[in-house]
Amino acid sequence: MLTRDIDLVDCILDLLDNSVDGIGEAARREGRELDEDRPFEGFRVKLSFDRDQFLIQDWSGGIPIDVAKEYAFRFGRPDDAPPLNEGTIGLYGIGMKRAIFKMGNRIRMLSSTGRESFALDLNVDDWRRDPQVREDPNGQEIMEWSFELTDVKRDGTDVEVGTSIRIEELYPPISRQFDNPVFGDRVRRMIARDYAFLLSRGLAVIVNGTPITAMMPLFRESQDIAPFRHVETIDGVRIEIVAGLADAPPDDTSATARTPDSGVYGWYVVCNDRVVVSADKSADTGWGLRPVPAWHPQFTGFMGVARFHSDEPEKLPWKTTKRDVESSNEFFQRALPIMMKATKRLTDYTNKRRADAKRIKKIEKAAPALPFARVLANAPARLPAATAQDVVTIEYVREVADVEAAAEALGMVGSSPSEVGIKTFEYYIAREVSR
Amino acid sequence: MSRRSFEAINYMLRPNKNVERKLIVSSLQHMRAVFPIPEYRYVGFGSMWFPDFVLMHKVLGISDMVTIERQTSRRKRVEFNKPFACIDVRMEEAATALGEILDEKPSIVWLDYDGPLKNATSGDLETAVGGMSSGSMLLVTVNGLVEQLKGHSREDGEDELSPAEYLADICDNPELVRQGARLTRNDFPGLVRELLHDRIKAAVLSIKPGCEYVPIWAFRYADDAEMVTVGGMIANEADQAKLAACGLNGIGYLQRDALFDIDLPILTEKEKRALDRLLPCATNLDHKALDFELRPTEVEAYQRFYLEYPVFNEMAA
Repeated sequence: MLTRDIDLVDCILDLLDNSVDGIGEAARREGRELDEDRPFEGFRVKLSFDRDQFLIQDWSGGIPIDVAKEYAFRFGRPDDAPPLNEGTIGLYGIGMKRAIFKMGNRIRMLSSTGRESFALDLNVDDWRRDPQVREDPNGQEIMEWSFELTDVKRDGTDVEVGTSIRIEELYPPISRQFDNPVFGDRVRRMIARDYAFLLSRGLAVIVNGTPITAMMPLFRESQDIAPFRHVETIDGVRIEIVAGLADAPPDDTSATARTPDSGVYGWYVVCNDRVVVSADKSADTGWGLRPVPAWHPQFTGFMGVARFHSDEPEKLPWKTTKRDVESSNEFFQRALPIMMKATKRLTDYTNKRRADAKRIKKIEKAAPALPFARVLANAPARLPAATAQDVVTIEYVREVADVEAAAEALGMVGSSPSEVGIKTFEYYIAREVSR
Repeated sequence: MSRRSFEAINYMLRPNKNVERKLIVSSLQHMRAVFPIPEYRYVGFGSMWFPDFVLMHKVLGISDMVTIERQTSRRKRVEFNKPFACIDVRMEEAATALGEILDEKPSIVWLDYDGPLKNATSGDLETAVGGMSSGSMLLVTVNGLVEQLKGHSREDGEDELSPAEYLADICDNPELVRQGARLTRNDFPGLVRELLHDRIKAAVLSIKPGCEYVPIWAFRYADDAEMVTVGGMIANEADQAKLAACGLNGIGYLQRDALFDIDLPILTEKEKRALDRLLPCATNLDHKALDFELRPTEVEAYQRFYLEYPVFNEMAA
């Protein structure tokens, strides 16, 4: 079954991808040029979901009737579908159908290009019971798997430009997930991250009434510190690589130390502004491939972006789901050694800086964290040099109540346990150790 | 030397907390007609005082009870103070104990932290839900003062976190940074109510297939610090129907969409008796007709809960 294995958030992202694709496709149909820097300015997509229904609404340009009839609503993509066009991030059709079919039994859709419009009102149960069979030119019976469009207007329509898909009679597990507060947060977080580049180029996505703010990868930059930058264009594919520090690496990387948000660090692979891999810490982006070490909490703070852009999307290193990098892709193969070299430089740095962590941390923290910006020229990483000092790390475990009591006695309630540890040590040194 | 809260406060002497406890027990009495409450297991933080355990046993007849106490250095004191033999003492962190105590037996678990919200976001709640069966009830009490969000720094101790950042961090939900406007003294308890209800609901929907979370309790009260208590039932379809049949909807202090304030005045015994002589009364008592000064809201609050209002007296030993 086509619909079973894909995660519900992915379904929603599939539909969102279709809405984004619609913007470029409509512009192409109508011969409009989109703004170079902010092509999605003024375009918005609204998503809402609850226990009873799911709704996605866009104003992206709509689906032309011929496309709907021939490609979008026939199951699978026919071989004679037109080639994928410039800038597109979607493979029309499949994503939309599997997403819709996963959620519920009743699907109502309305789409208008401004000139043409159609509606679709589908009861999946009824439709399954009535498979359409037709004969192909060789006289063999084949399954049609097509859907009836209604309210077809081909020449002039007063339906507002855009597409809306409403799904009702949700399947019970889907209904529960839509009702789960954690699910809503997850959707918002995924969109903020995976659509960050699109959002920062003007797109607005509103989820259950709340506009999503892009969570762009950040890089600390000042006179003393700056990320590695690389840019090249080969064979119609522009490759931009940036690697640096989003945050100062942690002091304490022992198993017990909590490293909040370690989820955001790592490599991001971006194809035509769609994040296909985020916060990656696997061999896909070079971690653990000689000479780069495998990911370790010590590298918390590391941030890398490999951005690929092309008018021929089939050249880009993404899988058809747009949720994964195609590592055998020739352009990715070209980028990977450059990414690894940059990673190695930074992992080495997190080792070296430990000898002088206090001073270096101040430098790192003083540098403002700036969102990823287009790379215009190559530049090596700029990192502060460590001056070696004789220091060691002390680590021990004590009962919480005792540490809290000590903190109170020291007049530092609310301080971290490590601060309490440092203070108690200093207290002892000051009183009992001769110098 | 810092004093642990049980050393600092006599748990008995908190009129608002006292009333909250009685209201919860009273709503459980309503449920008793439909749910076999005396067969339930009660799990709580009895401390040295066990007031909730006393009510659960005396009023509701629950006799399978477990108290969780993390101060392992006070084992003998806890054992010494437990009022009934049927209370099992677990000297452990709540997270460890909850994972082991709760088997599928229907239970009432009250995570009565007398500390900040952070206590409730550390996983105890999810551990509790994971071990609960349909018909079980979970209550959580935390401090509702917005000040608890101030003055925290990151793990590395350098950058100070804004209250919103700290809240987002302890709830592991970056979305909360956007809600800065609600981090005020008066709005925060309401946000705490929502966060706790949502957290229990999310846990139920994620790990209890076939069950829903039905909110029942949401109280705000202050004896010294302002506290918020939130709770409800983990219920499959059959138990949802049974719960609906309990008639809880008509009870004024059980509110679905807002906090119910328990804000009783501190009264002398003489004042209490004077008020009691005027009650019950179909209309609102007139504060101006009293022989002493009380605000209308105080009189109103007392009139509502005069039956639950505790009397404290010194006893000769």
